[in-house]
Amino acid sequence: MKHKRVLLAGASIDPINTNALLRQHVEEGFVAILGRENVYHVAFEFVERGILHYEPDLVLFFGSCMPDTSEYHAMAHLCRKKNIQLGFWLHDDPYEIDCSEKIVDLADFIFTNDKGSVPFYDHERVFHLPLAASPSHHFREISTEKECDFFFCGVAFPNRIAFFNDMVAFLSAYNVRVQGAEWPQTLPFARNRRLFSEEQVDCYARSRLTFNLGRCFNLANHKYMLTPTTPGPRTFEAAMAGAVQIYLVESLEICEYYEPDEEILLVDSPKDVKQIAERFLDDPESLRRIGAQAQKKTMDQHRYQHRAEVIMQVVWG
Amino acid sequence: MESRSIHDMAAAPCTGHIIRKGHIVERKCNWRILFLDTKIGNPNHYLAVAIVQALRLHHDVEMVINANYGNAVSSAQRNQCNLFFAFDGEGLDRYVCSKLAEICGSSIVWNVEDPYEIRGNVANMDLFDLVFTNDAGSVQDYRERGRHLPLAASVNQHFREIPPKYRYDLFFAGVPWPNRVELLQRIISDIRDLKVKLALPTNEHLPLLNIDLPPSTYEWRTSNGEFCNFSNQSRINLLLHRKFTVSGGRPEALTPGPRLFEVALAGGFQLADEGIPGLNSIYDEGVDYAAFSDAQDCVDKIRYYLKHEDRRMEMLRSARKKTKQAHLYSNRVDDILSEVSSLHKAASVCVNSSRPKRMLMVCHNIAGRIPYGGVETYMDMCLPFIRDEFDCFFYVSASNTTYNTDYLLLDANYKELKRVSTLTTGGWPCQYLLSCPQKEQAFAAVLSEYHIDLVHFNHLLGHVPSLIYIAKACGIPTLLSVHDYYPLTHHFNLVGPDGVYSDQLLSGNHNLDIHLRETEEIQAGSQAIRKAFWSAALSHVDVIHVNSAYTRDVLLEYYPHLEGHVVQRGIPVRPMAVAGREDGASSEMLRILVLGNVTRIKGGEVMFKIFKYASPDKFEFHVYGQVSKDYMDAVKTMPHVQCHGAFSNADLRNITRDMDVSLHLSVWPETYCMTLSEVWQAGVIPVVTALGALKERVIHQSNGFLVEPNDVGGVLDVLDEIYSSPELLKRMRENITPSMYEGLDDHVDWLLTLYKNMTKQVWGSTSNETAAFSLAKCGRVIQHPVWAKFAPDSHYLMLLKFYKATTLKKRVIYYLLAANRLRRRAGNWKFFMMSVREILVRLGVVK
Repeated sequence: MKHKRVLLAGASIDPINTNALLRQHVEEGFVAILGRENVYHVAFEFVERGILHYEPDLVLFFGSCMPDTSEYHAMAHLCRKKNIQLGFWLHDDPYEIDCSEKIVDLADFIFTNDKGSVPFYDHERVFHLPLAASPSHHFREISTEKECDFFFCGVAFPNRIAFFNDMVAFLSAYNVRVQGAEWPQTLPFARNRRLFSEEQVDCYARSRLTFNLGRCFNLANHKYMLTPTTPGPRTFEAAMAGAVQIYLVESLEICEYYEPDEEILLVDSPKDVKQIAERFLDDPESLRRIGAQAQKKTMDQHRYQHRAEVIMQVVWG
Repeated sequence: MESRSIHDMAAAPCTGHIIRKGHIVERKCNWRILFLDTKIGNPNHYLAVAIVQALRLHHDVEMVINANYGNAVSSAQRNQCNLFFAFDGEGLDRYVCSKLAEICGSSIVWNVEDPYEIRGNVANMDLFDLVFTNDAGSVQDYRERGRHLPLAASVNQHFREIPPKYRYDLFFAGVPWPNRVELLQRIISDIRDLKVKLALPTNEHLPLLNIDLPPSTYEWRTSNGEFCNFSNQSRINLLLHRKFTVSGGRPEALTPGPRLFEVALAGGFQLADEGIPGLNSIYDEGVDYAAFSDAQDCVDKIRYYLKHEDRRMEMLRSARKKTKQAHLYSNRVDDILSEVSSLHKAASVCVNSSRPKRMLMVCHNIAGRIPYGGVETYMDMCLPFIRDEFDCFFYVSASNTTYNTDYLLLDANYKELKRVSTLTTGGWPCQYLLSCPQKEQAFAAVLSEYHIDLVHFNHLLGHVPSLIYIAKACGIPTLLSVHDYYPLTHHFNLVGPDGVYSDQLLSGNHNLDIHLRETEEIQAGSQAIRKAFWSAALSHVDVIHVNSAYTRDVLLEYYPHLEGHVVQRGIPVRPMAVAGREDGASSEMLRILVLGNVTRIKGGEVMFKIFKYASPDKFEFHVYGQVSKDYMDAVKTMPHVQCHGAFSNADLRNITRDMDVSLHLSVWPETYCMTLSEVWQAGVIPVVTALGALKERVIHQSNGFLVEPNDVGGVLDVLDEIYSSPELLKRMRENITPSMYEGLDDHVDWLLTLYKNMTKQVWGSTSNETAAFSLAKCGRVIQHPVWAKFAPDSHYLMLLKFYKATTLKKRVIYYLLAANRLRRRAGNWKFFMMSVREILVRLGVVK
């Protein structure tokens, strides 16, 4: 397996792919196992050339297959002709699962970021593979020097707005930083400013507590109306940065990745958040311990290298 | 309509043995099941997944196809399925289901939304041999076909180990029907000290929730898998029933829903409303679950069972044991297949019909409707032979405008049977559209109402390419003839409005983008969208017919995955008896034939110069076809050029009889060129452009002459050479053989054989249901139906706004904006005039 060659490609063209950066992390994971010389990375537009040039053993499309330009018949045909395994690792399930129709007949392997979506693929080789974190991008030394009490970064989806609306009076007494896009002016601590990836990771590391609130925004999820179950990549990225995360429970799958109370703090209501604030904000040592344990778990189990190992195990046994 | 006769019938499939887990198990039947969830957008599809899993593990089941509306009929035909299993019942498409019932022979439905959807379900019961219903109270509605079958649980999906510790005291997830909300409102204040998890996702039919909790704690949804995790992690799970319907059915089921079984298998202890009908017939109160009578009793029981873990454990273990024994989907599947087998219904294994098969030609135009060309002539030529064996129909644009909204269904004599009017998505012309729901539905309706068995797409100009998906969804095989490059680009002869052809146009990612940008202001990336859609659509075409190796190579270079779909066969010519020509030139003058229209695309510029510079003393040109207005005035003054106007095929013999040489100087890579075959047949020696199929078919100085595109001098050199050596013609004529062109008889034999093979497996349906398909219903999701992205200030968008404007003032404004934009784009007035003309035609100002 050491000598296998992997061609990693975007599942859609980069100019419209807001998650193109994640592909670099995946590449890093494969390079850690196979070595730089056996891992190739091309944009969607150049996959056919990449296949002909590098003659890999596996072509792995990573990303979203939703854009109208994402079409894979020609690539799949070329892979068949050259006896190359064709895999997809989709990172936007279940929000775009209706578009998976494009790949089901073409893929040898499908990896989906969302565990709850797996049964809805009528394909023999579908596997759950959550996203992960990159040590080179997301690791931060744990420090007790913090800049704010609560931090959240993300788009203001309705569920997130509802959560902060329920908490607005309570949170106003603290140093709170909520950033991202489309936040209403009624939330005094929210700012509509997008953070660069590096900046965001720094904020995780410099905040006492980081909210982890799921996404509720479907683009092509009308066929089965699925609800996501697997936490998104920011869960792993924040943990890699040593953040202490407050995870609003809409799925208990989080417990498969992090130990509640030891590595992550689960909440079901604003009341739970208040209890956490009372217990932890004046206890930097407990915060440091939880953050360090989450970081260690991430380093041990949730790097992209671990995900690459799963893929290789599935594909080559 | 003739009735269908099934020639070959067999008894229900019952033979064989299978080996499972080391034991030989008798296989009583070999069910080949076509499974279809009838409801699009079904949040309960996980039930379907569980049933499919159970079916696939059943020893009497050979195969299960988990289909959708886009592939169900074709899959059932291809796999010769013998049982149609419809699931859910809601949203059922009668056309698809009636066809599946016919194809499979046996058909069942498991309705899981009774009694709430009972009205619709009863209306559809005629399609099925047996109707299984989740609700005991609905069985009698289905009379002798009705069977009660409660939902169940799946080990794969729902089983959980009993946890060492619990996260919640109480859990309830479900739609907040009014009766449920009433109870929750009454108990919530009494259990504030408990760790409660509620999920109450509401919908537009329900009144606003009024529960004394922060909304973020209960306004969320959970997946079925996570529902089981929450049930498993909670000491007590509330089981509340539903009393509500918006579909005109009865508001309360007499059998509990699936969550009863799912929670039991997930190891959850259940505290149920004792009023839930049917609960006691499945589980025993006090043994498998506890029950409460009212809100106060509910609170009391919650507190009691939180204190008595041993009692909870006893009951949840008992419920789980019973579920594993009797309430899994494997049990239900056993019951279903046992019932179906007892019908002893014959299953069809060969699908034939005594009526002639019906084929539909899809094209932009037909022969005789000017302007028409080679494609229409081809169809017209084959028609007399095809209609001897097939009932033929045509589906063509009603007008020649690109804003085509009307289509004509014609019979084999081109007589109008039906006129179909459709809206066009966003007012866009068809050439920029990938999909248009109105056109798709109109096409589906034609296919179903006229019981079409085969679709031959001859051209999709004026249509939308998504029609390919519609034919497939109807289970109709498709043949697509590639007569030009329309499947690759809407500039179907690879020449844009600027009249320039480049052989680099299709290479790389940028050339076509640049071309579209410069000719039509279409933004970069648009062609990639078109290519992606066509690429996928073409993979659904059963057979792609190309006329030449050149066309095949270009097509496969662009869409390599179509390799296995493509067949090559030329376009035929009508046989023409020509007297043997012994001599060289026919007279002292060399008589040169131009067969077809003299337009820019056909080499009009080159020909005009040839006419101009060729010696009138040696050469005589005879043009049969329309001469473009660009050249007509000048050509009229040339005594050695005779313009004879349009010709009919019947005139060909006379036209070609005295001709020596013909010119075929297209500036685009022709895909075949029928006139080349026609002149060869008459012994005329062609001079052709060394491009496309012309280059492929003509061997230089053997059966014709090749010249480079736009090489006026090259053509004149060739003509001089022939003039000076008349014996050259005689020698070359000897090289012309019938193998160089496609004969009509051979072609029709090939075509009819192809049609017959393609329709061999097609079910000659007698269903009178009308198909209602759109691309989305076929399961194909696209973000935008228009592939062409125009710059916001492009003249084209201004013209579109002009067209759609409702007031004269707005029209004037948009017209001026478009004109101004074009004024700044020097050299494109012609395209501007074309666009304006389209609009005027659309408005009915000009024809």
